[in-house]
Amino acid sequence: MISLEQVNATVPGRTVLKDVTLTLRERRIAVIGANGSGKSTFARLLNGLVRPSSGRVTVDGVDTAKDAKAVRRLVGFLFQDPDNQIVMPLVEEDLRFSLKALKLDRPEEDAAIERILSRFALGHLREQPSHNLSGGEKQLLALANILLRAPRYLVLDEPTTLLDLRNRRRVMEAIDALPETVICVTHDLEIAAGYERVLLLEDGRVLDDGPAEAVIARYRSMAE
Amino acid sequence: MNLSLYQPGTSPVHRLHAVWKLAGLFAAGIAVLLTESPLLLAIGLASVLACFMLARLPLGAVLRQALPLFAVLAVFFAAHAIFTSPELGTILVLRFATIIGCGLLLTLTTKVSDMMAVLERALRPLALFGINPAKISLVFALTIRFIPVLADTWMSVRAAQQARGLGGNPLALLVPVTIQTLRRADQIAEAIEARGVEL
Repeated sequence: MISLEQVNATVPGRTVLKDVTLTLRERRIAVIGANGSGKSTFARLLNGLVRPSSGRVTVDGVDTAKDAKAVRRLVGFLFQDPDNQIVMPLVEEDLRFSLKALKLDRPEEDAAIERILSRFALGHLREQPSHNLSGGEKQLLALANILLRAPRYLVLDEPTTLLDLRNRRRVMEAIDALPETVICVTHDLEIAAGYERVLLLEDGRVLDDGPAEAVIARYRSMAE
Repeated sequence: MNLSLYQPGTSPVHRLHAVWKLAGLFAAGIAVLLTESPLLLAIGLASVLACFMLARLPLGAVLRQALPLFAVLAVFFAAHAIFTSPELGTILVLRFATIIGCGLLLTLTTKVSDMMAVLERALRPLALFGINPAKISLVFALTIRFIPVLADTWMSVRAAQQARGLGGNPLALLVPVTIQTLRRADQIAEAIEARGVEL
């Protein structure tokens, strides 16, 4: 369970999130809202990339401000642009880089890499330069990198925004099949519509929180 | 554009540990500088070529990298033949061809991560002075990984500025490329942090 208690978050010059109190238990939660509403900051709070300026964020009881290392083991984070999260020149090397912190021996690393590559049908790309992959393949590689560390929660920050339709479908099918808890920040209301709970953010506050249909309807009415 | 030249394979050269390959490159570099015998240098170059055969690399991949170097060496030889002597030109060309061949063989048969591991080990004594070897080897890997990405940024900004009729203005290119690069650097650092990699 992830909980936020009276959380404020600031960037120099302004407060991005204001007095947010929430408990996140559902398996699929979408976060929607206009640009600048605080969605990305909200997502970054959940794995300790952003620390609250006041209030408290805990993941399974672990305070993100006190033990960011433990929180990052629990919460994986997928960014919008996969090009920024793939660090190594070859696919296999990038996956190995993710395992570095786990300090496994070489056969264990090999087995983990084999499993994740076959899970996402990326085995044929194992020794390919990561720069040459398609957008969808890069995003799947980034997702594979996160799952290698077996997090309980996945925070996705607009994971399909830069993808074409076919790659979007491929990535979303992979995400939908995940057993982990997913919190997805998205502008894609089609994705949000399939989620159990939707949060609508507006000007740094949670304006609405509930079943997808009602929250999305409110969001649409705001845009009219 | 891809700066990682590695060609997958299972040859004995591929399987040889990166530390031996780097040691071989270092030794070859010293050996070619210590001798002036064209015969010995030719034997050295022939040995490097034999290693290429042993590595069973795709000819196209090798030629793509080697041909521009051949052209430079040809100019080098011609300049020496005209201004000094063909013998000296031969010695210098054999030296450079051998050492460049060794370097090319290393990069074509060795993964960046394997070179990183060797670099990290070699730099370990620097930890005594508060320098983190893992950070230095990561910088090396990031450079190889992100130069093609930065080249893409450069080309897309250039296309955008050309569309606005600002193709010849260096500021119109440098400012957005610099801003995008700095922003990307922040995002990469954030992504590495999010992956739980501690340096």
